[in-house]
Amino acid sequence: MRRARPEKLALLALLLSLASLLISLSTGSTDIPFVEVLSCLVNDDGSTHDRIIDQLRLPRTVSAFAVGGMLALAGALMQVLLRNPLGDPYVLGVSGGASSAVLAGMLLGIPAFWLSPVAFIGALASTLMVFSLARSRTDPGSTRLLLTGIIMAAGWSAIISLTLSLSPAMQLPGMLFWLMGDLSDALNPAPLLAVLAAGLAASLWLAPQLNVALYGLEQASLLGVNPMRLRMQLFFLASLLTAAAVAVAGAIGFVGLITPHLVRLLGATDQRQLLPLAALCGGSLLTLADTAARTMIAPMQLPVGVLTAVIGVPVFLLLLQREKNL
Amino acid sequence: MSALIEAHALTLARGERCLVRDLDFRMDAGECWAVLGPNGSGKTTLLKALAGLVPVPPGHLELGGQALERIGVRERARSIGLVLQQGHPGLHNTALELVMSGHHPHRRHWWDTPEEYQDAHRALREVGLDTLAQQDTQTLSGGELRRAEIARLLVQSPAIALLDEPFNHLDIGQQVSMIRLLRRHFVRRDKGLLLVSHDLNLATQVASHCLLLHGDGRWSAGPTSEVAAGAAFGELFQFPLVEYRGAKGPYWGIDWEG
Repeated sequence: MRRARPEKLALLALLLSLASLLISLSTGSTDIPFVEVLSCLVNDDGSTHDRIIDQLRLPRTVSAFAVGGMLALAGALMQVLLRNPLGDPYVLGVSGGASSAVLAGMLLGIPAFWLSPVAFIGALASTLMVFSLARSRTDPGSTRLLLTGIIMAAGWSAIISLTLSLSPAMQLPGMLFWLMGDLSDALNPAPLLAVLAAGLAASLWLAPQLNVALYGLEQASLLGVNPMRLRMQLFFLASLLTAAAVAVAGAIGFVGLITPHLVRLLGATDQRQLLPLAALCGGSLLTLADTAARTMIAPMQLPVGVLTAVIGVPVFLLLLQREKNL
Repeated sequence: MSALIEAHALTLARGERCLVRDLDFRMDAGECWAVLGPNGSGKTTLLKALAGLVPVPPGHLELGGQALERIGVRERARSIGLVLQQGHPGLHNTALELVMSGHHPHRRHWWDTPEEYQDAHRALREVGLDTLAQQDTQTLSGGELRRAEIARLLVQSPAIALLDEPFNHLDIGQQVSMIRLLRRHFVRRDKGLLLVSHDLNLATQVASHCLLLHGDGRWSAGPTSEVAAGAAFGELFQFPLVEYRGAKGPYWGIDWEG
């Protein structure tokens, strides 16, 4: 297959990102034309539309973009770590670990500000557990890791059910909605963008080593990469990105799984190219999915996690068909 | 001049089982070594130990006169390279990307340079894969993947090249051209080649030296003309071999009638 040139792909991803942001900003209870969206972003005229854009849609849209970008980036990193295209924070139980920790925190009445660090601890603990449980004397096979992760995800979901059954009835609806993946409370995008930018910068810095680690950790070591250090860096980075996404938006599945795939299908397999493209495309996908989730059955809103799962499951199965080596 | 590889009283074990006991050997530049032995005799373990993948107690291995454990992972990758018996093809990467990864230990910058691409294309041409440069490695055949990995080794260009059964996916024509290629690149004034093979005839024709591993701790090492003999191979594989006289030395076969 002939591969697209890197500049073309970058341009395509940027256009996709801009389009998704514009569509999200202009769609909702009142549709606002693109031109007006742009003028509202530039000037503050205090009109109703201006307030809708600035105070409601812009924060949520940017949050959705950042969360999608973080999930896609975390997924892409985990796929290198596992050397398996089915790696994803949701499938591997990292999201589950973060969710369990956050729910337990909510139950114990921990202030909302501390929920993000709690999520990070949950995510990192889950990742480390998966990798230490799956460890064998040789380079752990990816199947072994994947199975351990899936079992871990099942375990977390049991703990989540337990937490929910212990929670007071008043708190339940909020917990459930958050758990299904919901962006309606995500109105403070600045810290998310900061985590995404830092995560992307760190990923790009690691990208040359990741390009070697694609051929296995033994091979990476043979080519001058310290495999254990790289692995710890990846654990940390993927957990951080997942935790920031989960703390804000709950467990949104499949964005991390599907986006790196789409980018590879477009022809970007070099990690220096794939990682930034995955962040942009993941952001766009979740922005579009969230737009659909909040408008499809308006005035009611769907949790966006339900929508990504409905789209993600069949796409996952299609991708599984495509992989010959599993 | 110091030896490329020097092993002093090196002992390798797998679990309770001692594979190699007190191995002493020295590989100098310009030599080509063949490691021979039955299945499970520690050939792969030895190669991994030499390349730093299997930890060895300090003081038993030296590369280029320097203790192996004191060489950083990047510097080690510049002096020793290993083509594993079973390589991973990556995540839908192209053959060119796989070969380009061989530059990693030499690289000081984040991007690729035109010279690096030229090197990679030249290596792909040398192994006969130039038409498959943009091919997804996951769609390559076993032999093609192996040749791409040899091309990566050429790009990496270490002083010591180790190959673990490099020919077992290759047809006979490819075996001959890969051997010629490897000899041209690594059997030189400042370099050395060490390979594991199960093909006695091929190994003894190509190698200047042989290392026989019995798998129970015993070993013998030396010039091929001294070490390679019918009796030695018979004992090594616990199986009688018939020795034939060829124009360029002996070769061995199986006596199916016996």
